[in-house]
Amino acid sequence: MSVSIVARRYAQALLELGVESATLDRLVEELSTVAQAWESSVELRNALENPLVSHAMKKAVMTELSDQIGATATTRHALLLLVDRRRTPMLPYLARFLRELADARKGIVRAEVTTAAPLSDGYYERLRAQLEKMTGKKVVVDRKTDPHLIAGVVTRIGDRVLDGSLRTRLQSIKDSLMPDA
Amino acid sequence: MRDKLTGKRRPVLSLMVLVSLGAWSAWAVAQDPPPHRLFRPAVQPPPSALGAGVQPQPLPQGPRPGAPPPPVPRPGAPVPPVGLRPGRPASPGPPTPGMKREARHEQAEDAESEHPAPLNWTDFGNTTPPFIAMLVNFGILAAGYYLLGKKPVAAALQNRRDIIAKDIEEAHKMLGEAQARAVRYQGKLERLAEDTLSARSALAQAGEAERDRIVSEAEAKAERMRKDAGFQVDQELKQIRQDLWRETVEAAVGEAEELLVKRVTPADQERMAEDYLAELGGTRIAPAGGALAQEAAS
Repeated sequence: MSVSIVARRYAQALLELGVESATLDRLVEELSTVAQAWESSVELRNALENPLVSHAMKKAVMTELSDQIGATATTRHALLLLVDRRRTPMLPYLARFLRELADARKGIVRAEVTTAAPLSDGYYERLRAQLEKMTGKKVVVDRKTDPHLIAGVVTRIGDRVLDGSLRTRLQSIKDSLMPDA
Repeated sequence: MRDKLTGKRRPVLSLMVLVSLGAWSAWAVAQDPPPHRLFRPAVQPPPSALGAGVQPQPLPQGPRPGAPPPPVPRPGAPVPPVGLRPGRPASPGPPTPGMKREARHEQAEDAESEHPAPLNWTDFGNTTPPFIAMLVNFGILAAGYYLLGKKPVAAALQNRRDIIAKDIEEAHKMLGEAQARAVRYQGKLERLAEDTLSARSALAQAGEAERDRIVSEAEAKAERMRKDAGFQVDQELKQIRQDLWRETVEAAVGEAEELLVKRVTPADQERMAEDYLAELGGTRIAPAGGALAQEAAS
């Protein structure tokens, strides 16, 4: 079964648990933190994926991580369940799907705005207002910076990408000049 | 069938052999047991009766083949000395050549003057077997040969005749074939010159046709090769042109990118961001994550 499908089912179950216990926002934040740690730490991935590391040791590592972030019981049990089921590699998917489900439940649309250089807060406010006007929903902007874009802005809302970067324009010019085009 | 005939012949042959043996046995019984001739004492004439030039003759050992049987002396009759003429004085003294010639002359005269003995037809008691017994014996022998050899000899002759007939037939057939072949070869020989000319002309025509075909094929192949080469050259030119164009475009875009990276200022960043925001004003986005919204709502 695909990892994304399994992660979506886990996310749905966690959503229901978070709604019941009224800790959905905290659950989302804690899982996002653990997912970021998973993606950024090679040592953590090796410790939790290496078959030579015992299962008890993996659970101990995950318990220690939960204690460090001050995770709730629901988050702690969810993480230990992932260790028991050997599903720790799907942590980033789980965090993303849970955030999307939570945002959708609250009527929030998350927009990922990437710029070549940091822009002013006023610009981000105007951009968020424009995006809310376009989508008709409340928009939360996640800011990112990527110098690779050279200049311009790229906004990703769900599966839509609004690309206004200079790199993309150069690529378009290049593609149009290519003889195969 | 063969066994049946053999079964009939055997008793007949046995009967004939029995009859022959019986006849000979009867003759043998009728015969007095003769003294053995080798031990019969020869009656020697007195030396005085013998001529000086006459040599004693050996006892006859039996009738010579082809010669008439000698007269059989009766039992008790005196046996005359062989080669000695009774009543003829013997001249004493060693024989001279003239006396030898005379003795031979006299012996020849004696042989001419002797009469053959009469035939013994039926007397089984005589020293010679009766002639009728010999005839019967011969008849039995001839009948045996006839009865025993008729079928095999007839079959062998018939077989031989068949083989010879078959050989003759095959020889006739071979002769006919050989004659036909000879006629055919003779005809071929007669048409040889004409056939040679026709074959030569046919070969020449075939060679010309083959030459034309090869030339036409070579021309067609050359044309195809010319077309292929032209097409290949065109393709390679096109490919080279595209490669050059691609490299030129990549180099130009790369140079432009380097220039932009070097020359873009924060003011340019803000200007492009404002342009982006202005472009978004005319755009409308459908609500994203429809499926997720439904899952969350449920």
